[in-house]
Amino acid sequence: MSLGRKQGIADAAQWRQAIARARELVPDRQLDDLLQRTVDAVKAEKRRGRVAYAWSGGKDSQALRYVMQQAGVHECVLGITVGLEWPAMLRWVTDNMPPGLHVATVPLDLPWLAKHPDMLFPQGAHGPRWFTLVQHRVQRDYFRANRLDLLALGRRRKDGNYVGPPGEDRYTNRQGVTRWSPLADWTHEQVFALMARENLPLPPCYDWPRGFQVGTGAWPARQWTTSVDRGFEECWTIDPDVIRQAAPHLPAAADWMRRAGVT
Amino acid sequence: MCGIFAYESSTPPDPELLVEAAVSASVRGPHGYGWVTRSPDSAHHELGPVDPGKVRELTAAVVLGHARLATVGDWQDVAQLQPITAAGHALAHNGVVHNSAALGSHADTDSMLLAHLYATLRAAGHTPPDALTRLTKAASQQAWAIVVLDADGHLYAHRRYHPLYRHREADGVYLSSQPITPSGQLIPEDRPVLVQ
Repeated sequence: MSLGRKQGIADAAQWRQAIARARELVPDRQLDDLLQRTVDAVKAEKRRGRVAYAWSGGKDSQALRYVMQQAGVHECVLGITVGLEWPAMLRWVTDNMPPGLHVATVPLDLPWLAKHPDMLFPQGAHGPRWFTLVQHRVQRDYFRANRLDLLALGRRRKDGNYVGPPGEDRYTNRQGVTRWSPLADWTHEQVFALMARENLPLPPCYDWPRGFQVGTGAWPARQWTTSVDRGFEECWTIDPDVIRQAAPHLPAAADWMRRAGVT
Repeated sequence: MCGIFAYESSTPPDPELLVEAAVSASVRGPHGYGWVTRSPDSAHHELGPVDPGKVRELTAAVVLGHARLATVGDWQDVAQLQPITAAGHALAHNGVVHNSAALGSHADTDSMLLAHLYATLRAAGHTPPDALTRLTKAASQQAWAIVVLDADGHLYAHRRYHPLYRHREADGVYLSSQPITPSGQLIPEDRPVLVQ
């Protein structure tokens, strides 16, 4: 069985099944060959120029971290908002961060969100705007400050990610940032097989509602909630304190709490 | 996650090296920063990323600094910035305590609990290394780096997994979360270390 794009699979059971069966589906020899090819590719790029990677703590990011460390690349960057992150994720990141991690914040907090209500659980095509605001901005600044030639990402085609023009696994944007996806052709099962074999930990967000569909990111950035109310409901089940702290700033949060009858 | 920087000698630090150490801490803790010094004694806590200009002005012979990424408590509360002082000791912490409730309820953050526990252990007569060992045994943590500027005027460190480099330079010893000179060596894990 092969899983499709994560956006189409809300059912955590399918993901769990894939994780449980990953090592059966991906024999060690196949995984070793894939790893060797990927690590060799990173080493080749490292010989040609300065390479670092972006890390979020997510499943693909953890697989990328393993590959990059095997290739001797330790410098990496994590972009977060200054005040809209899940506390549980920050605690997990603190416990599991790569030693060479650079953490950069963007000044997005509750007062900012109050002024930009369209960024609360943005739907459809608006969802990726959070990536532009946080990850892309931080990656651009990190790329320039460290005079990088390549910034490796954990993007994969099977996850529906853009990795470059057809036939390519890299692209340079108008700002001169070259993003490279060494895992572009890895399947979900190959990522899971690596995680299982090497005991790579997964952050708590995957145990939350639609965790494998949503992945990492700030709490208001949750995608495919279908409505703002559904977004608040999901967030409340994950960490009510996040919504309680938002309510004095966000009328929508206060209104949802009143209608939901929660305090 | 957070970053730690420190310096100990009998003379003022090289401003550029201290800035390098502080910046290496800052990349792990962008919410706020601070320091406590001895000879001359001072303390400073401020929200936002480390200001290299202010670090460059430090002339104390012993400095303990910290850059915070808030994982517990209010990221905008200056009172929660580190180092945290308790009974004349100052403590800088990188890590997450998973059994805070067992350590006490009289503090807003897990790092504050550690500072108070260290002071309690010292008041009970334990030496700085013994107090650090007992502290890290009592606190349930997956990974940590802790540096204490004890009231005896010296720096002590204890770490597991999280990086903390010691640099022995001509003017003194520097600690930082990333190597800042070729002399940088990770301090040993799982045992208390007198920094100097």
